[in-house]
Amino acid sequence: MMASWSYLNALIEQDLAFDPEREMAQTIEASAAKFRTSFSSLKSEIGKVIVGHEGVVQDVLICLFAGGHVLLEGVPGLGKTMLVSTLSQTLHLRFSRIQFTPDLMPADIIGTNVVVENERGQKFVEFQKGPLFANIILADEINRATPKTQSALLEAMQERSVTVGGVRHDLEAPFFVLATQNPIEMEGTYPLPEAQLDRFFFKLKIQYPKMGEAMEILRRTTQREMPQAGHVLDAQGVRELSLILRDIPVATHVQEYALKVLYGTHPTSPHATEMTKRFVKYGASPRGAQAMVLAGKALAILDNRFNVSEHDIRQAALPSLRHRIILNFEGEAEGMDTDAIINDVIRHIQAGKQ
Amino acid sequence: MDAVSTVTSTVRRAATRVAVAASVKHSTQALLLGLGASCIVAAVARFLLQTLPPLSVLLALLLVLPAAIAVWFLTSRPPRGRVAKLVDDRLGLRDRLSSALEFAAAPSKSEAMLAQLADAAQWSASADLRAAFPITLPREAKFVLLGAALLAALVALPLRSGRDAIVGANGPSVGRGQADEVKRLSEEHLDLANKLNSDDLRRLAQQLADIAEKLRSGLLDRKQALAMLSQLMSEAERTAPSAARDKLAQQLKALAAALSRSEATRDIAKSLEKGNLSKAAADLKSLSERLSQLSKSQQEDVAKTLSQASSSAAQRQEGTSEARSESERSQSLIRDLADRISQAERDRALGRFQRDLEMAKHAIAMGSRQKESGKMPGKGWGKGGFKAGFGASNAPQGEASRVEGKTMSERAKGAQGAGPTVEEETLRAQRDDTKSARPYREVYAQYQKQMEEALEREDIPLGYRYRVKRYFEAIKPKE
Repeated sequence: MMASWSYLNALIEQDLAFDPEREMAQTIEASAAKFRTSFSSLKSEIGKVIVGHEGVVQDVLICLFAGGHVLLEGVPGLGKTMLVSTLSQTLHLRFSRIQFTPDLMPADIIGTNVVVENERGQKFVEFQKGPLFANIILADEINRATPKTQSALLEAMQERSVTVGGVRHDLEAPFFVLATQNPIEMEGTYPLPEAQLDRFFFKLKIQYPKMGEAMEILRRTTQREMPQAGHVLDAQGVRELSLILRDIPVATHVQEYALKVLYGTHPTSPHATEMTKRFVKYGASPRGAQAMVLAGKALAILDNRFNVSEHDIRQAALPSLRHRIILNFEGEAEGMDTDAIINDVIRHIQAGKQ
Repeated sequence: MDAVSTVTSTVRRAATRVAVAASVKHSTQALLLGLGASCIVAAVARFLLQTLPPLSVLLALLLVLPAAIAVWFLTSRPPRGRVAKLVDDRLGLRDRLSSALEFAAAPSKSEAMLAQLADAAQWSASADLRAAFPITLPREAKFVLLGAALLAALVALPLRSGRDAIVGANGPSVGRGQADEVKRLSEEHLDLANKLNSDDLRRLAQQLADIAEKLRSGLLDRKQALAMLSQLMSEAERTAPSAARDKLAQQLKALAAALSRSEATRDIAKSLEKGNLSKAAADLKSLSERLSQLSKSQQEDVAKTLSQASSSAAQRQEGTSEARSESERSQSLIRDLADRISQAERDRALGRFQRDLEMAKHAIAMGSRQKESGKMPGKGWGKGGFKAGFGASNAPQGEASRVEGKTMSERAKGAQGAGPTVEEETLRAQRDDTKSARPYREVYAQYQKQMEEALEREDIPLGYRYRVKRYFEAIKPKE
């Protein structure tokens, strides 16, 4: 009898102590902690192979969890391909590398219907999947392929499915494309059209490693054993973490801030700066604002916050917007960098807040 | 306290600090403005109007605007969202509070919102609002201190600006120049009393000198000075009633009329008519000296005229000197008339003393308003008034007149309209040179003579005579 009474009391106390809001908060806190842990592990594993480029690695991972695609730009030999292949090692995902060449056809990357014969001699058409059917795609030197092939890839990036012979084939999630392109204009390249550049979540610039980093690269790559990155996450893990990211709320004034930055790149907008009016033909599309906010969410979680701040937006502005701004003739002639325009817009907004 | 309460409480406290800081800053600036305006008002009152600055005006200038600004800032708090953003920015909270404030108002809160609120509450509980919103005196505070010191000096220091002002014991002060003027008046009347051998005038002038000394020493304020001057005026009136003076003036007129009948006494009559009693007395003395040199008939004529004059002035001498000779009788009558003229001079001096007292009283009563009204001569704005002033000045006769010497009058002919009419007008034209047609010395001598005659002839108060003489001294041609 006494035991029953004690058990009942314990139940009542437990019930009184239960705070549903706190419980909910603890759940999301645990998820956020998991996000941070996984993120940190991924960076750490990639760091075993890739020396330096911490910012690029972080941005690539943010893109991965935000569900976007990355355009990596850098001169040859800076480890772009190595970065992507290392990322695929850390994620237990299917990885494809497509080397874009001028003679690469859409069917070469999407796949094609082929006539096959079974054991009984019957012939039928079967869809042979191309390298696009993977979780992580490395589109190496994307600007070397013809626009037709580029369009096939970019359409798949947008729709996350391909259609061959009237049959739609969905691409398995996560579907993450990392395209690289060489900034040096060379003969036989086909620069990506502006509308297709807009499909990339981030455009990341890979810089030369610093002297210390180069020394470490030399050390790691000239010994017998090459460093290997371990598995951290699988497809399911990536999908779960992507969902957490989207749960982070954004306050109205932060959204307004992101839109101010966005419209600051529009030459006809009242938020436009003098530099924008002078050098920009078309400003960034709303996808740019989406990218800034989504990336801001990831940055907020990484900073142990559940709110996106204006600082996060500023941090995400350059990779989100730099490939979405189309310069006018004067901007091209002056060799204007879109990063300078974005920084000018941010400075202008900050000065207006003083 | 739950998360929402913690966040809103922090924002409220921050809003209070923001309001107080803004209130302190802006009211200090307003105070500085008020101090500047007060200093200007005080300086104008002290140096131009020579009076103590009106405290009510100064207080209003000082306090009204800062108080209004302080109240406005304290009552109109900034929006909470803006304050929360300020806290975020100043404490580097990365929009935690501003976002939490918005999420707290959301009708349904997601898990992430609740987690964010808990996070924001944790941060806001440890937020150092004192460091984020320090309530300190603005930079203008030191200028406020300087301004306050200046204003205090302008208000508190005695109203003594060089030689221009003295302070009374209990009230508004009397100007130093006014005291000097009273002193000068008393000295002039003392001289006159000695000259005329008038004990009454000497006594009254001495009392006036005592009042002047007290004024110069600051022992009397304006009210007391006016009371003493009124008392002195009453005494002067008792000594020489104005009715008696009028009667004496009538007698002198009758005397002049009587004396004008004889050739020998006509000059005396003229002097009396002009009011030049001194000259009349001198002429009488001269007549007395040359009486014996006159012919018999002339002596009879003089004796008759003097007798009539004496009887017209008073009836007491009739028949008293029947037994004497014509010459003796005339000498007796001359002495009698000389006595009367001397008495008239003394009475006139007493009358002038009363008028001068009246003016002195008026000038002191006017005080600083003298300059403001512009009706009193003296220094500054008082130039050109209708009464003599009592103010110390480096240029008591006022600024020198500016003569536009390069002009001349010239007649010009011309037609007006289309008709045959020819008009002729006198225009001010440019002169070829600035030299006067008549020598200045000659003109001056002529005017100076006229001035002296007028001063002698007319019953002009001492104050006026002094001014006129000073003026002529000022414009005297150089030797």
